Amino acid sequence: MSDDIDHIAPEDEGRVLAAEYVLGVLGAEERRAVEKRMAEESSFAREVAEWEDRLGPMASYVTPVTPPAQTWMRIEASLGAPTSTAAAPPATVWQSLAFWRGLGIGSSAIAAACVAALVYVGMRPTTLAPRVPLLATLTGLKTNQPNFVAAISTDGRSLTIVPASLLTADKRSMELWLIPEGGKPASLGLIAAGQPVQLNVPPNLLPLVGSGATLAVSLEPLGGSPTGQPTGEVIAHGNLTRL
Amino acid sequence: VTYEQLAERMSVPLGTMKSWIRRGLLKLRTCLEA
Repeated sequence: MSDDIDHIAPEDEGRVLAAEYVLGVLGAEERRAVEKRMAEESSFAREVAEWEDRLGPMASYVTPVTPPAQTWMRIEASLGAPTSTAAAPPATVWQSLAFWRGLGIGSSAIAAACVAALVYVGMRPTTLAPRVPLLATLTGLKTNQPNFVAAISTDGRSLTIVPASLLTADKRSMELWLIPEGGKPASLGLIAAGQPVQLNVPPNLLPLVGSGATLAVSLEPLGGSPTGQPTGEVIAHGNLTRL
Repeated sequence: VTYEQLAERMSVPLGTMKSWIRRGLLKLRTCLEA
């Protein structure tokens, strides 16, 4: 029995090959062939994985052996790399136990951090999570028709107000006010009757922009209210609501 | 360690070494599956 390969049943051929691969008794050429087959044949790859489960635990009984110094030089030579001048194998980071141990601990820490981040994201109050734009339809006080549509950007920093219909031919300035729930009006700026206007929300008003606040338009002297509060007639108003 | 190195170390033909190990692996598989 010079070669018993013929005695292996065809259905065992793949099993044996997978085991040989995991055991590490194959030459470089054969290993490459096995790796190719693993990529192409899922049942074969599964067989390899099963052998890794069977044989893997045995590796823990093997006492590690430090390879002789010339092994590293031979590897370098076969790779065509310039041979190391040092006689001893350079203690690369890959050979360092501390490195692998550190990597293991580091990976666990990252995994823990990911779980913590997931939990944190899951626990965050939902009021913060969906940044839907705030909208307001400003209804004319006399006409009872929608006269402006205002939208606040999702970051709350800018407001676009679009006139839906001409409310008045009055030549005075129209000023837009933000009225927080139970608060005093604060000016957001002047708007135009015939075209959309984009206004920046002043930083001190950012916390006041939210559901429940009211937008109002008043008629003011040219250039806007001189007092900082509405002085003229309020012609339209509406509540800010989330979509 | 490859088959070649094992056969050399045990002073047996390469084919013999292969069949020993292959039969051993198949037996091991049967044992572990049962």
